[in-house]
Amino acid sequence: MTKPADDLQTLLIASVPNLRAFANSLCGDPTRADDLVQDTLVKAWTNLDSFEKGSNLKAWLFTILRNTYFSELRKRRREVEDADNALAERMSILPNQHVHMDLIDFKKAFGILSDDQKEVLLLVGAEGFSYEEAAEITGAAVGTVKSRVNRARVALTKALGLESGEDFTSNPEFMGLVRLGQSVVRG
Amino acid sequence: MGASSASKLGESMPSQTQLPAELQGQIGKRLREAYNELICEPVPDRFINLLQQLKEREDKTPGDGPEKGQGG
Repeated sequence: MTKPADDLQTLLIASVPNLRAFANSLCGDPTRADDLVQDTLVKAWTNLDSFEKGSNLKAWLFTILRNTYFSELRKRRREVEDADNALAERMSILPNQHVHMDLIDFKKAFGILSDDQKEVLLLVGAEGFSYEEAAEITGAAVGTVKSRVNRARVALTKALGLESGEDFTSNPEFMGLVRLGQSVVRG
Repeated sequence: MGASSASKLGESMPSQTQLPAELQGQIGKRLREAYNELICEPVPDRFINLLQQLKEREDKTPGDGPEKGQGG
């Protein structure tokens, strides 16, 4: 029979890849991300009393991590005004040879989002939390989470140069070019 | 017709532009690709050692921390 501590240990280890991915995406600094994950694990272990049994352990861990991140960020912002700029720069020079060009562009584009937008997009879009769960984790209203996710998507679309098909087809000049192209191909 | 239908339209429209489903799908796909790449990174020993230490500390001082790990 396994002891409760063994179960908890297993559950926490299983959550580490997701916590690291979330922390990394949020702060853009692998070293700091790992420190965040370490703090999260220690806090989770020592505050297990405050975890409601039967509720979502993963959501609880993500809550601890983002709270730690944002309270550190507030502290840092008071110390260094341009911390964000430095991080953005680091994000933009991430050379990773086995990453497709598309992905590098995406990471750059992701780097321009605000922390609030990054956070909810990661929770909902990457981790698959519901809007309600994301609202609970971030302490924001569900409506706020929805509009942040939407704003993040719109910002990414613009940054990546992905245009809405409707925008093109509603442009008579563009449609004229399309028709011209078709007739050239056919003719 | 003009004014009333315009305000009705305003109410039923979301307060901001909603992306077409196709674009939402594209953004979501790229996000998950980038994110999965991070998830697939191997877990550094540091975390396994840390949890081992936390557990050992727990074993030495029983009844002083997590009582039950039973959950849902």
